[in-house]
Amino acid sequence: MFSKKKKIMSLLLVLVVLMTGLCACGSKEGNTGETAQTANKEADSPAKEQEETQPAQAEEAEAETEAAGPDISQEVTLVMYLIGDRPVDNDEVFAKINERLKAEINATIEVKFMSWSEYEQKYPLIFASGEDWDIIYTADWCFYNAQAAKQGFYEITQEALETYAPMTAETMYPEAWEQAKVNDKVYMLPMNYKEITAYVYMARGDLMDKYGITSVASLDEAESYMDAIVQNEPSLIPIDVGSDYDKLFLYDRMFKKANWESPEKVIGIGPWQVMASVSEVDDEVKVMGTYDYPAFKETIVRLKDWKDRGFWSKNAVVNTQNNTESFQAGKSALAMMNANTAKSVYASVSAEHPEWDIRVFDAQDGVPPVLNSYLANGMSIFSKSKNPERALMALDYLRNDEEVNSLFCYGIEGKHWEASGDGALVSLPDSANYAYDSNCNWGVRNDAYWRVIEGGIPNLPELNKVWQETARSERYQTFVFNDESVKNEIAALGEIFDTDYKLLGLGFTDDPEADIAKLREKMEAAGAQKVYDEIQKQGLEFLAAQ
Amino acid sequence: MYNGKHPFLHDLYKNRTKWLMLLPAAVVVILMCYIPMAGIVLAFKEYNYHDGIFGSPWTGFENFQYFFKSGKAWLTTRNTILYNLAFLCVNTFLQITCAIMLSELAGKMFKRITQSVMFLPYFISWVVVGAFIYNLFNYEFGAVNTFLKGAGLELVDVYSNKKMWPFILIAVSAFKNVGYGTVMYLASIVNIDGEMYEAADLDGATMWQKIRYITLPCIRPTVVILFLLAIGTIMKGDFQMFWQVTGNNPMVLEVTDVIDTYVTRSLLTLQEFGMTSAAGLYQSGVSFVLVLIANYIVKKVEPDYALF
Repeated sequence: MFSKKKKIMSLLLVLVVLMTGLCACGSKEGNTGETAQTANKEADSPAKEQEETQPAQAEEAEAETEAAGPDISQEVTLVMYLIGDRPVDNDEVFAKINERLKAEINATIEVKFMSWSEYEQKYPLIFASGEDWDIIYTADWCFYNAQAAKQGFYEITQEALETYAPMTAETMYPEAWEQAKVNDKVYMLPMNYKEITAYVYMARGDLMDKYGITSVASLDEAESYMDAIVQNEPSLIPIDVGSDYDKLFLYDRMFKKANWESPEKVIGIGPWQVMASVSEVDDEVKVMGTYDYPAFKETIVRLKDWKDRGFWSKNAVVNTQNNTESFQAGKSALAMMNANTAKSVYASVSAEHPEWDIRVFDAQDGVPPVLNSYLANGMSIFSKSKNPERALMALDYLRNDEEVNSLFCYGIEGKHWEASGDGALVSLPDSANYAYDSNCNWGVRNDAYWRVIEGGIPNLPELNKVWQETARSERYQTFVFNDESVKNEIAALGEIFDTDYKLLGLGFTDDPEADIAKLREKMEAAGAQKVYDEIQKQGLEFLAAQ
Repeated sequence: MYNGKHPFLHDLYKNRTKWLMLLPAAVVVILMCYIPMAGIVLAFKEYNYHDGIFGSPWTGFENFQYFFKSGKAWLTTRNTILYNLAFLCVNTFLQITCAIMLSELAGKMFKRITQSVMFLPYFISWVVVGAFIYNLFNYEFGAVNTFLKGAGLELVDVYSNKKMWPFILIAVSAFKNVGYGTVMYLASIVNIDGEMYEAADLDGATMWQKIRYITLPCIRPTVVILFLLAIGTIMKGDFQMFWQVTGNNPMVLEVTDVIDTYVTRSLLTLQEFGMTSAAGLYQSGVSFVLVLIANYIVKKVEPDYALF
């Protein structure tokens, strides 16, 4: 009797153990998918489970595409990834956009954002995560070549363009279409817009007046301003650089200035991780490590001086907040950004802190701004999108339909902006919640519907005028390097770029000369010369083809 | 004994309860460890999104080159092994010490509370610990420097000082893990037969003698087994800890970079899945060899305690 009872008890116990085990097991399984998507900490398993199931679906999607004529009987929701922080009124704006898209192509768009501080890490991961999404912002500086080479994007053929995006097919600048080609295939719809990238400083007017600084329009003037801050405002960091986004901002300004003033006009070439530079006036395309130019050392010495004087945090290398965010939060006294970002930052900071009296200055310091290639902004479709043809149709409307395009670029008319004559607009107070041209809408900018902003930064028209007169394209701007034969070297060099180069670029060195020598030694050991030779070879071909 | 039935099936029937109990663990291991192992092929492939893991073209040993070319293979391997050895020794020592001290304590209430408080850090996420560290050691606003400033002393710049990081890492590892191990050792101390202590008391043994001659020898099997299990993970850096606590700081990478952080960093910046899996495979290979060696040594010295 007793033993029987015991037996039943033990069996029950086993059952309980088994149940808990299975439950734990089940929930663990569910979690794995999610963790693989977001964290990917196990290096050798980036979403391997999900990947296996995907090709079949992708093929199905392709089969659908081949069916003739746009079939829009089925309603779809397209997921679109943009870079930046979600504007407060984003949902309201997209509700209007979706209203129209629903009527025209029976599709709606759901927008997801990845912030500037993490996009470098997150961008490549969403391709491998197995997540279901359709459209993404891309650019030559934002993984276009890398992801296209790994077949991350859906190929946009001329036929597909004509079938699904007739408006785009008609209005696309032919040279933009040519630039977008990677191995003769196009994976991006580049913006229909001619853009200049110029950098500006944004400074606190109240502090400038307090310390008798009249202008912060050059490196020297920025130096005096930051010096005044360091001496008198212990609670402020002069400029809070160091995040992924702005770790090399000051380095870039200094190095570019030094080179623009030199007769060689040295510029970067090839993938940025390999630190290759070439003189623009040299038809031999002699490629050297950037660190081998005398200007590099001068720059590092000055950066070290600035760092030692406390112009940025001693913890700058572990910063996760970028200098603009710090400036907005009142932690720093100076920020540097491109003129485009400045427009929206200016609007929101002036509204929140009118007492700061912020002022914007030209940070180009005599260096002509870059006339961007069309690839500086664009939109692509995910290669595993379930509805690539509908995504293309949606992009067609975002780019070419005046109503949708204006909604995306400037917000709701009458709420965020109102028209001011032809080709201009005035921002309304609500634009703090959906600012002019700063919602990652850059990929669909269209010269045909473009409106310049009136008001905003008072001296911007004046700066724009100067920039437009001097802007130029760099000689190797449209040069696309094929890294097939030197992948391993680039991987090894990338690691050095990420650690040693970043440190030098923020002035973290006790002995610039010795550390530059150390950098050179590591670069050579990792096979830099082989990469430079390859760049030279392809560079010569590039020049010959022109 | 053998009655004509198939020996395995017979065993399966005879010990069905035990087999049933094994089932959940076996399922988890197969699902989580064996099936994903197929992904190893990624190390020999040139991965692209479209063809996926199995469809991408083969590249042979191409992917392994970069790890050795970047000069980081030796550095990260060394760091990983040395850190794990240090954690193992320091943590085991502290865990045993704490367990013995707790077992000698009289007040039951006090014992329970101490035990819980020690256990608590185990549940704090590394992200939070990383934030603690940042707020302690931030140069401009950190707690340590604010205190030093107040006391009129010289400020310390922890984030660029390589020498401090091994100590910080060992300290935070102890902070998180000592409580957990203490409970395991405490459990094995509680299981020691009380009569032995009574006999020792009668013989007039002091507290130290009891610890030295009864407690320590009795928990030796636990120590050896936990140690052996730890050897298996000696090539696995605690990724979360190294990543979060150091904030991926390039200034001190020379002393804080372990294989796991290196692999993650290169994956994030290069997006070369094949190359990073190659580094991961290298790590697993070395781990495997280390386990075999450790087990072989234990087998020679104490055949009873060897794992297999």
